Amino acid sequence: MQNPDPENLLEAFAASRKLDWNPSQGFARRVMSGLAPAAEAETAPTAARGSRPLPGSFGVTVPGPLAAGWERLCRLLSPPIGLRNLGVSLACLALAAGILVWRAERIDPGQRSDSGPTRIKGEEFRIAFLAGNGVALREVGEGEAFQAGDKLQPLYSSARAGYISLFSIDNAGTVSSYSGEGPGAASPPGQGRSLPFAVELDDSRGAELFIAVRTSTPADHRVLEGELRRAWEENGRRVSGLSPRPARIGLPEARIATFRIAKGGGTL
Amino acid sequence: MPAMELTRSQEEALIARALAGDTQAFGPLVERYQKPLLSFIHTLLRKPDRVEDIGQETFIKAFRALATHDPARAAFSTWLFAIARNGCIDELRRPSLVRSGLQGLEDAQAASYPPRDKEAVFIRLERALDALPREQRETFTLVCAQGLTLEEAAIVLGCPTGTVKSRLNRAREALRRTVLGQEAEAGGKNAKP
Repeated sequence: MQNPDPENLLEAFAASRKLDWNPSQGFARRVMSGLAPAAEAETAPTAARGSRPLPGSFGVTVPGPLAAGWERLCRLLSPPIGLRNLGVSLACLALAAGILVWRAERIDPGQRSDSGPTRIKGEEFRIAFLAGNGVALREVGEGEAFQAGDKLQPLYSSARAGYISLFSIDNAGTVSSYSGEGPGAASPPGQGRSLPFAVELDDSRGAELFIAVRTSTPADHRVLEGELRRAWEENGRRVSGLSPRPARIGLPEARIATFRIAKGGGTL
Repeated sequence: MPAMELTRSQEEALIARALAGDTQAFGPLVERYQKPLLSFIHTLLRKPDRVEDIGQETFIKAFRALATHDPARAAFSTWLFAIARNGCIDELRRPSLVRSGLQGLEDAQAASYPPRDKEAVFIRLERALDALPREQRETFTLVCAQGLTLEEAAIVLGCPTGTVKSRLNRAREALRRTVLGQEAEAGGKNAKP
């Protein structure tokens, strides 16, 4: 066999290392959608410990690897063209329903969501998470296990506008704040709204409790972090069974929502 | 669809508009550089599942740091690649749960489809390249695989052109020795008693 020229082999080897990549459809659009909230993202600095927030945009735009799945989810939920013909007849029903809602709001103003026809009962406040890998997007189940580096998009459902702060606490009592130092902007009421950042999980193991606090005025995050840490200590220094109460963290008018996950393949 | 070509002055005009608050002016720059940038990241990183994430982060970082770009010092593309390279280093420093060096090797082979008779040499070269200091490995990849000039590589790597040249020479020499060693081994096996 004829020995190949080393220089030619090196050139061929170098050429073989150049890997072409064709951007997925919508990549540029996702990048552009990620540019808008730059100012907001910069007000939410990376947590010094624990999992970290990722920049994202407020409202329906989901950042980074979740975006493609989010778009797919939106497409699935949007009505097919054939159904639009029903629109005229449904419009009559909607008009009647609108009159009923208008009458109800006259009786009980300020208590209702402004997004979609579904109304949220009373003072209800919930959080949920979406997990995505760039292709698929799914809702996270309570207690689900994740690995370091997994990214979660927090969502909230709230009957009232308010200032929403998101924290997490792990079994070691480490409290992470994801909402930045400052008060930020009030979050509007609605169902399944995304918070303006995603969370990337760190490599700690075991149970982690996410705690969202909704207040009517901007809350001091450092105070809240201290209160949550105190609640953890009073709970026997465990996340299991921890359920912070507004009055016990010094904010009787606040609403608190929690969500548990497991990290590092551990169980709750 | 082929990427839109932009002259340097057009790029600078778009950057000026973006700096003035016109976010959409950044769009043509993303369109123009998405493919070369993602290919660059894929070549450096060899983690297909992370390429677009790092690419997106690179564009967002570039947009937020546009005011720091000095067109007199580096072309926008060179500056963009430098940001991407830092993102790749950060990514490689993170503990990997799934990927391994062997996986990267398989990717390289799958992507390049070298002829059978070169396969063994390429595997040895891949290992030899992985064994080089990171600076030499990066320099070889940027110049020989990615086709950057020495000056462009110097900006991306943040070092003088002379340093790039010496790193490249050292890398090529080490790899050349690997090729010759492979040939000697093959020759020894084929030698008749």
